[in-house]
Amino acid sequence: MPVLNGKELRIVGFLCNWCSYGGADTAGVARATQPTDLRVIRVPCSGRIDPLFIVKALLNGADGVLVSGCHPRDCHYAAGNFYARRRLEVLKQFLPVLGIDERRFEYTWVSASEGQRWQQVVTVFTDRIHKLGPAPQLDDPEPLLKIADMALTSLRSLGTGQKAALAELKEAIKAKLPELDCVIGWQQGYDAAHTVPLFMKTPEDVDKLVWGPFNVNNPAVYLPTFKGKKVGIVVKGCDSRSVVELLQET
Amino acid sequence: MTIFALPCEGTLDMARVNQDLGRYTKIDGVTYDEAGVTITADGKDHRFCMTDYAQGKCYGCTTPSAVLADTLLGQPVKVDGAAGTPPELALLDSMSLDERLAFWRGQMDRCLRCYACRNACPMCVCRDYCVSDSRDPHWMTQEDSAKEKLFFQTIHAMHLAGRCTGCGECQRACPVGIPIMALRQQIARAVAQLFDGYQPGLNPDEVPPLLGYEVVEKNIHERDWK
Repeated sequence: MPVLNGKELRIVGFLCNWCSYGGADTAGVARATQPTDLRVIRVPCSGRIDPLFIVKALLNGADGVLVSGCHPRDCHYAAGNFYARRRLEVLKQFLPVLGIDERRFEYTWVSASEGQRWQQVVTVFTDRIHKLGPAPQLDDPEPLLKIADMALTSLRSLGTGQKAALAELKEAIKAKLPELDCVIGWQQGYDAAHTVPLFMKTPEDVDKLVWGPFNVNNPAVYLPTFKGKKVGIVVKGCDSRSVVELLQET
Repeated sequence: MTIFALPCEGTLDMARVNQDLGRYTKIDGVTYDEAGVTITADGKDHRFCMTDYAQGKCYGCTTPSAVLADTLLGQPVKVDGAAGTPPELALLDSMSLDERLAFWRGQMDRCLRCYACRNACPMCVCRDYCVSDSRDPHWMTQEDSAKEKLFFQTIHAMHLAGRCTGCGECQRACPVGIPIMALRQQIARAVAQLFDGYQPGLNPDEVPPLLGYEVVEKNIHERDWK
């Protein structure tokens, strides 16, 4: 449907089939007067709504996005809207960092019998979008280039880690190596100021292991490719968190 | 799986190091001292102090020693205080909404769409089945527009919601140095605020917040419509 220039804005509505779509229907059957800016997309459940639907709509020219589902505890699929609530709330707080006003996106709950509430939700939301006006588009502004200020103070003393117990670590790896298919670490790259990943399979490989401020790569990125194998990994503190996160998900 | 760990004293931000090294043909060697490194390139010495040239994430790091390890050697590092706002996010925080849009416009114009950020990410476990490569559903076109590229960054950031540990590999791998960490950091901040200071990657027995729910959410309040 083309937009009535100057009078209407583009608002996309994602409504769950079981409650809000029915609620909108109830409002229609009751002949409730509603603004006509909203284009409704019917989805099986609010849990079906990927936050990316909303970002995609907003980046591609929607002036507002409204999501509506069953009230909490009323979901046709028992828990869909509970998951949706967490996702959509995170999305709402994410939008401002992209430069999109978070008031252009809203989620709410309307049941199939709440025709009047639906009318109110549409009216209030459309009003709000009209006050905000047409959404600024990514292609419009002049590019602005700014650089983050990295002059920071550290929470701990930073150093080069050359006193770390690297020799002991190599011994520990060599001792464990017979039980493992591979141990992932770092070795010197094409010059002394760069490292590349090291996959240790023999004791000679272990001697190549290095430790220091050039170990920038995160070896956890290789872990999924070793699924089902016995693998060892040498980590910095931050890498260990990626390992823990991967363990949570397996 | 066996985890080996040493306490980390920080890593260098190679982008800034390379910027100061300038053009060189060969690195002759590196010498280490307590507080920094001296890189000899084409016979000229350049000294880099760790406190000035560490990666942005290292300054606010609260886990210099591994949180989970089978072999953890060395003394644990003392950390004073809690992490503040990371530098990339602080930059975005200082801008208005319109400025942010203009900022991403400029940054995404520079993006090469090489997907190094995705390939370096340890949490991007879909690998060959990434939705950005999918033709059905066709989430992304092959178009070289700021919009498509920003949408890809949003896909990455949203798929890492509540999972991203802030290891900074995406930004480090970026060949043109776009501060894409800011998007992940904003989500991490939202997740921490909504789910009682939850930080990903600290406890292997925890369920990531977006994989679960509470019937009554403590920190999410639906807005009223009056």
